[in-house]
Amino acid sequence: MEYTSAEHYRISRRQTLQQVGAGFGGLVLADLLKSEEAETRRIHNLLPQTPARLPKARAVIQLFMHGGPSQVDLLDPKPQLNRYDGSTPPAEVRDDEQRTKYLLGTPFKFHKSGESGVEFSDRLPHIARHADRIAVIRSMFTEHRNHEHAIWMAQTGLIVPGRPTLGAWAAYGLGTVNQNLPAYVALPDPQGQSVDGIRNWSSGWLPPIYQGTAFRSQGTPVLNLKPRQEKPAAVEAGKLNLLRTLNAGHKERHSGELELDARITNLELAARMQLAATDAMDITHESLVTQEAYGLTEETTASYGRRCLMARRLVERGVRYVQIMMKGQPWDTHQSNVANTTSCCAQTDQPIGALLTDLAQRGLLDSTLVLWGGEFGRTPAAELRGKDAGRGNEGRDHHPYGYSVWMAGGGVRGGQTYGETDEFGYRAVVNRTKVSDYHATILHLLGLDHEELDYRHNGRSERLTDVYRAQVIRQLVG
Amino acid sequence: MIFVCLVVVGLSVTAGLCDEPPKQERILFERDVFPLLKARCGVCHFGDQPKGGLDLSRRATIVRGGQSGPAIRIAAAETSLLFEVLSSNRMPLRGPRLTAEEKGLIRSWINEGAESESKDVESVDEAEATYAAAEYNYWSFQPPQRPAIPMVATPQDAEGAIDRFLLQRLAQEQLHYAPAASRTTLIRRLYMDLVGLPPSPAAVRHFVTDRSPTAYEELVDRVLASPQFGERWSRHWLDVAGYSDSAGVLSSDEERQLIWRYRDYVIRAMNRDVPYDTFVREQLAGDELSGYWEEYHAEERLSEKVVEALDATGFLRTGPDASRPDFNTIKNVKGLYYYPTIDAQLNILTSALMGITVKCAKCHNHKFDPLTQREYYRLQSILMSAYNPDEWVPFRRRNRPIATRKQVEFAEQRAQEIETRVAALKQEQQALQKEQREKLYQQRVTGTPEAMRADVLAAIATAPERRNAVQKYLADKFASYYRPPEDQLDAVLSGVFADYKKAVATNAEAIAAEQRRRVYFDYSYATYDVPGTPHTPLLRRGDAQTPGPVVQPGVPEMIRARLPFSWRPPAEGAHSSGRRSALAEWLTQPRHPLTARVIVNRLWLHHFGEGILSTVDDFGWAGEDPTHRTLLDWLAVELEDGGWSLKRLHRSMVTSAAYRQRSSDGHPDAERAEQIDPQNRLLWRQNLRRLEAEPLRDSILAVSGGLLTNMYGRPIPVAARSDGEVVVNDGKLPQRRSIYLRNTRSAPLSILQLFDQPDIETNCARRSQSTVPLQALSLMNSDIVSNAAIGFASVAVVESPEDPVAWAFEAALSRQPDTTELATLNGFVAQQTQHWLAQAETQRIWEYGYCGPASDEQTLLTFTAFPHFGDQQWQLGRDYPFQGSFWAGLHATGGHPGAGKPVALKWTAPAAGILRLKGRIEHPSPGGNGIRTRFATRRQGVLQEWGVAHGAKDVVSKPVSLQAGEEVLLITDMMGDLTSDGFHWAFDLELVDGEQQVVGRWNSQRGFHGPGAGAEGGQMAARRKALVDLCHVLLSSHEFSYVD
Repeated sequence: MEYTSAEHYRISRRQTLQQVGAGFGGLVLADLLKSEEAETRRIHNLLPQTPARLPKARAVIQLFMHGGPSQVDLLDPKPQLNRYDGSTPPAEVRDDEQRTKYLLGTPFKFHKSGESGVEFSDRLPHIARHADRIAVIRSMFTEHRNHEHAIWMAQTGLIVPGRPTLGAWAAYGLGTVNQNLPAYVALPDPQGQSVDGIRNWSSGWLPPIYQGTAFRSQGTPVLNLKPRQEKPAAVEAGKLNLLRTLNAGHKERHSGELELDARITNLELAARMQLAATDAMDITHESLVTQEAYGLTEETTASYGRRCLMARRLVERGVRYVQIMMKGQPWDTHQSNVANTTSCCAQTDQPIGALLTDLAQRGLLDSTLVLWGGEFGRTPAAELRGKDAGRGNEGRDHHPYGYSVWMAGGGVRGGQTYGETDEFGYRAVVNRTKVSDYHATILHLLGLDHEELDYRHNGRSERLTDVYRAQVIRQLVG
Repeated sequence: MIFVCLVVVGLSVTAGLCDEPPKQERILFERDVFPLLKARCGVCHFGDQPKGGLDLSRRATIVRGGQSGPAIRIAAAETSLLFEVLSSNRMPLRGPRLTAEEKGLIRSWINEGAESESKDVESVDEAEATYAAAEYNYWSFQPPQRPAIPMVATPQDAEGAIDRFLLQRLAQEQLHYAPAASRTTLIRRLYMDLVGLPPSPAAVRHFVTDRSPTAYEELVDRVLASPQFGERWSRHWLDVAGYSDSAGVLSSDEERQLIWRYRDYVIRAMNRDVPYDTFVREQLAGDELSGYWEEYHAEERLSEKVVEALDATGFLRTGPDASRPDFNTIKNVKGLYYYPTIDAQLNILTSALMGITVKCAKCHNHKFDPLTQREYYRLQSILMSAYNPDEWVPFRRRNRPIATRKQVEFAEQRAQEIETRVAALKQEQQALQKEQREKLYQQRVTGTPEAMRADVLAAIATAPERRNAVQKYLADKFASYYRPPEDQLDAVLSGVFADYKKAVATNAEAIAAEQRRRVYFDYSYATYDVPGTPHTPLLRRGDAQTPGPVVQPGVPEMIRARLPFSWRPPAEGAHSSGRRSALAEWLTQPRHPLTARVIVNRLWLHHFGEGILSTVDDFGWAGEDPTHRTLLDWLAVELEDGGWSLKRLHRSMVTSAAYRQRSSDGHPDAERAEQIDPQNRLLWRQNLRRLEAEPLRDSILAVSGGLLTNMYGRPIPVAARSDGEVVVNDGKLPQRRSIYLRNTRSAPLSILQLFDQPDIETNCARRSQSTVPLQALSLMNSDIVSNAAIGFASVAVVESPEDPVAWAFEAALSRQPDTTELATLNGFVAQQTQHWLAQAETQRIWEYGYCGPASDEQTLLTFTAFPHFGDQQWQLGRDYPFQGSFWAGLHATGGHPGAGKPVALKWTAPAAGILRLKGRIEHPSPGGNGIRTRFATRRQGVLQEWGVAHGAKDVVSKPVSLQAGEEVLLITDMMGDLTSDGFHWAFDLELVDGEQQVVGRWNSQRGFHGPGAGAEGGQMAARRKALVDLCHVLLSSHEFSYVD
């Protein structure tokens, strides 16, 4: 693993100012300082930043489950729901929009796993093996029942579009230790974009430098890494040399412009990234045992497994935030919930289990926070959509009032569940966890304070958790 | 009387399994909820001093809530505080928990709208705040006054007012301007600033040699008059206006098909120098102020002025919007989808025109500025007649035809007429068809031989399942013959009856002619008031589910304009409410505190790299202090008194000595200046600025001859490649300017996004600037820049055949290279030429041609190179087969021999040694008599011969001793019969020298090449490639992407 030394090409005007401040006439100085306060504008970069507190987690792998997985089928066992399967929901959990029908139990069995005995559905055998590393939050709730809005809530903290995602905040707050790779990498499904597309890794109004870079899992990982028509090495080297000479000459005529140095450095970074990115994504160096463990040899698991393996390789190389996505919104089981949930689990369970094992074996899990969850959960009651819908192939509708997510590694106290929904899995009632609490906890694990990590935008100091009274969930952070 | 009010609604669940629940009555507060709350919560939450300020005894006080905010959100129980504390048993603190049924009752009551018998409407507005008088005294909220121009000693060329203000401030620090920039620097700066494209070398030379004392001023006027000025400056305004070609919000990011008309309006307005106050008025209320509705109702057609004003109101249509027509079925849709659009649009409006941020006041009184929440909703109320949540128009239907009522009615009438006539024509046709069908039937029945006719008819008349074998046969054969099926009927009838065919054609033409008479209109994506009087409640915490008292249109009191906002409810039957006009008039009144200051500051930002007030979108208390407040005010007053001409303002800025300073090194006092004012806020030099995404891309295209200069129109599509890169025209040139590309929120053009084109969510007052390696990668490797470099080199060769290197440098950077630079450039080109020649050398080893005719071995070995390369094949001429009959050709994996022209692959030994050849020859066709390949050298004659027919053959040569430069030939002929002689081949060659060292290995397929490498043109081709390399480097260089 090779990190480049952090080159301090960013020199804050403010620092300069403070150094020379003594010899500087009063008012203008104050004005200028005020302007610095008002607009902490700088030439943005991704140099490593020291967080407010000692971080537990240095990196994040986010396994985003587009569509909203069903909590009562996977992570939140509800015996009452099975008992009253087929009957009318009681008033306190009745569907006020009349989109669902009768209560719908789950055919899946839940098993106590590990020493902690945390219960997982039999659809998740590989993940269940890590029960003692995992903390399941069963009392999440969100504010919108439509995908996009709920995705924004989950990824950016509010149900409005255009805000920075969690990964962008992490890149902004922490930078990255390996300048040869982006700080924030998104691994979209090569089969197709997820719902909400590129906004899933947007930096919103944070400068674009903090947005996720989508790596392709086939071919060259980054756009324009190589020209479409490759040229002889000597030709490319010659061009790069001339470019350096011209830029150096330009810089010589503008000795005070620090930004030009940053740009010059970037050219070198680009040249190095051509090697680093290709290397990071080249999984042919992985042993066959590893490839099999991630399911690369099985058609069902190969695609997701490949992205999980890449995520590990990226984190290993110092990438701060990796986000794995699936095409469309596969967990959106409006129809045939059982079959579709089973299919999603079959694609992801083994790769995720392997990822946790692999991270742990390499000593990376302690410093890598793994997040699993979608934008909301699913109704405990049946949705009958389509003319063939009926008993046995019911779906479940979107459900924002109570759902489950889990987190592991990176300082999380595993082997526990946090919070509860009511006895039907409808509504979070004990230790209700709003998304901002979840976000605050994640930032906390990264050594960041959700109340202090801010960015001035349109005359307002913006934070991931906005004006919510968010709480770090102490019970989760061990 | 209570029963009269009861509404019975169907809460039924049409479940498959559960029983139909009984129809329920709507829950009422007084009857159902009050007794429960009184019994379980009353001890603490009823009475004069309820706990936490929350009084649960009245619906109104529940909605208003207590210290923790509203206790319920109407129709949204799950997120209502009251339900939250009850359902999780956090309340009641004492006494038993609520039962499931009781919780359900509360939940249902809230979800059904929290209805109450009494119309107990909230009137108290505790959100009202009072601010200290001093808070209203902030400088930017007072009308600007014309300041005196400072009397300072200035150099001769800096006597203008702008310079006097700046120099006065600099003098306080004992600083002064940097020396003036050179003319070459100046013209490039001016072009980039004003038109976003570099000047042509000719324009540079003309300016540099212009001896007129007003050469620069004349140049400024020329540039300001060019149509590209509008294309450049409209982009700045469109950022501020939040322009995008899509609606955003939803993943589908639906296209806004008509909004480009607003973009075109802005370009035209900039070019025509529409006075800024008019520009503001048209954008806010062009429909009302131009008399659109009057013309619509009274005139024959809309005047151009009105159409222009309609297009201008696209300004209020840019906000992100998710309102699909089917969304009206969503519960609480107003709060979820409609209000966010109104809020976004209001933010755009206030940030663009007033430079203030009001969105904080949506939920609470503003923290920094004396702006109350009530005032936020008064502002919102101005938009409410165009965006009425109760009369919501989904965004796709929001448009007005470019036509008057008469025209619309005429078109409708015409459409009806057409429909009637078309229906008649179709009927006519059907009748004719029916008649002819019967005729056919009769004809075919009578045409059937009499002996079998009766049997056939009987067979057809018998029900299919009853037919015997014979009947089945007859029915199958004759039923569709007598009566052709519907889908074949017309064809059959037309075939049989020539008249019918003619009649059908005539009828179809008549219908088409009718359809052509339809009248179509263009549509404008205009803002207009929808019918009905909107009411605007203050929303507690900005939440549509907790509405408060209703407010009237108004503006923030903190802005101390001289004339009040003046609006009266419109007269009965008025077409438009006048709310937006009232705002427009208020904003453009003389000496408005913000209007002129804000736009002046924006122009300054783009000309000097920083605003006089750096927080360009926050002129309030939280904003920065301006560095030169008096200058800002002077410019604001000048703008207004100069007839609001923006071009005049541009001119005064770019002709100032401040603007004309150097940005580069050379300030005699730089060290001290750098210490005193490191940010250069006092402008002791000009700022070096990086080109934004659009001028960077446009400039790359322009110098390469790949920029299409046509203006206006529908956005140019962009498309994502399989690797995710979003490109125009598949990366090929030429392309249009960036302003005309489709700019959607979800699929921005990759290269623009990479260079910080903003992600338009609401709007962007100021772009951020990032520095990432991907930018360097895109300049070095993207198709668009690679293709531009090729084009650029061609232009250079045409423009300056003698010295394309120097010309290219000048074209890219607007200056001539100095001698050191020229030496570097020429050295580079020479070196790159060598690199390319070396590559060509490795390719040149293979040549492609034909031999013969093969009368004897001597003639057989005469090799002639193919003259033409087309469609990846060497051949005799442009067309293939040449002159219709010569099939001779060679491609990478094989070829075809010609009659009397055996095709030949020639390989030339780069050194002496022993050659071994092995390969595979295939004649895939089962036809013909096969082919023959001969292995020969020009010096030694034919060495081996292989015949192949209908299959493949692996071949190996004997080792052959070769001299350096000896030519080896692989000749294939047709063996006398030209048919089916296409063949495939591949050869591996290995040359070993006297020391048994491998000199090299070659493969015929990998070494295959087109023209340019092997031929005499090699030197030229290599030099051209080197020139392309040079052009590519120039386009990627810092000097290209920075404005000095």
